[in-house]
Amino acid sequence: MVREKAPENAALRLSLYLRYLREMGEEESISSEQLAQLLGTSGVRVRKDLSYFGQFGTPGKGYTVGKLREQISKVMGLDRIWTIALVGVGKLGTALLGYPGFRKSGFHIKVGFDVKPNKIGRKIAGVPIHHPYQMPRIIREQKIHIGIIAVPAEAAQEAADLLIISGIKAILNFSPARITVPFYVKLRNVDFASQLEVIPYYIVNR
Amino acid sequence: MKKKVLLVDDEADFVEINKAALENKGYQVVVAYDGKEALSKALEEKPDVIILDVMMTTKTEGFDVSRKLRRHKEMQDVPIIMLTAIRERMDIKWKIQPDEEWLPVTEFLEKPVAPEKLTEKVEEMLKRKKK
Repeated sequence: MVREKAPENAALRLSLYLRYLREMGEEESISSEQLAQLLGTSGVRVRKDLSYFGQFGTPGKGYTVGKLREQISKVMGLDRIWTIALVGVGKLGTALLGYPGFRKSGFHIKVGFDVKPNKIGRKIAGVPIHHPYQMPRIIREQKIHIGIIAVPAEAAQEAADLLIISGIKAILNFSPARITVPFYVKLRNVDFASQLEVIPYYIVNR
Repeated sequence: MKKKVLLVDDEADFVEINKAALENKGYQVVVAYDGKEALSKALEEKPDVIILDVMMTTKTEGFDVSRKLRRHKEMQDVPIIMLTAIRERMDIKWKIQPDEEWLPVTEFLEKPVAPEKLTEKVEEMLKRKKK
């Protein structure tokens, strides 16, 4: 379906388009200019982004919201349920477990792992918590697709190693540690501190 | 000059038996019982081959040791034979394979490994290294 290799930013913007489209009525129509306005970008950019992934809408008529939503969801693999294992159920991990937005996008955190004895065997936000050393069996049995790491930096590589030996092929890392994964595992890092550190640059260089 | 083998495992019996078998074949054997000791002995002793267990202080400590070793220029070409019972003990169904970045070892062997098989593997690694 993907015509030429889409830049990663295009895929990210697709996710944002989808967020707005979810708030709109199924039968409504929207033009690339209107969609662009919602995101603070240009209509050309929207059309270019969509062109990487296929033929959307009718020239001159725009897009039907429901149809566009369905097509983008399909391109992004968001037309199904993705199961997640969360490693690290501290403050951040607990907040992630309680976040309702994941479900809306088809992400289901099915299981959590933590080393703290007072958490093991309990359910937090309805999610059962196990010791990380039970990962391979539980991940296999629960058919988990994605791993999220929310442990302190010093434990992040071990968490990743355990996810990888459990067969996980995609990891979202919230720890500030730089972790190593094999070539066949897709890793995305979400480093809050470094993102925050970029902000003053834009303020002082206004 | 005798070839030097660094044998890393937290199981004292395993170390003792395999050390004896390797010495019997004419190797000089240096031992370490955890990852930290393994790293310092590797850099100090500059072994020709390293035999490295996985499950020591943590269940994946050996993985981390292999990555840290490869960051040192003098350790980049030293064969590492990784030994483990991790698949059996952690109920892993698929085979773990070496990976240039994530698991930079030369061979991945599953325990139990007979001392004579391990000695043969060391010989094979040294021959391969010569070529």
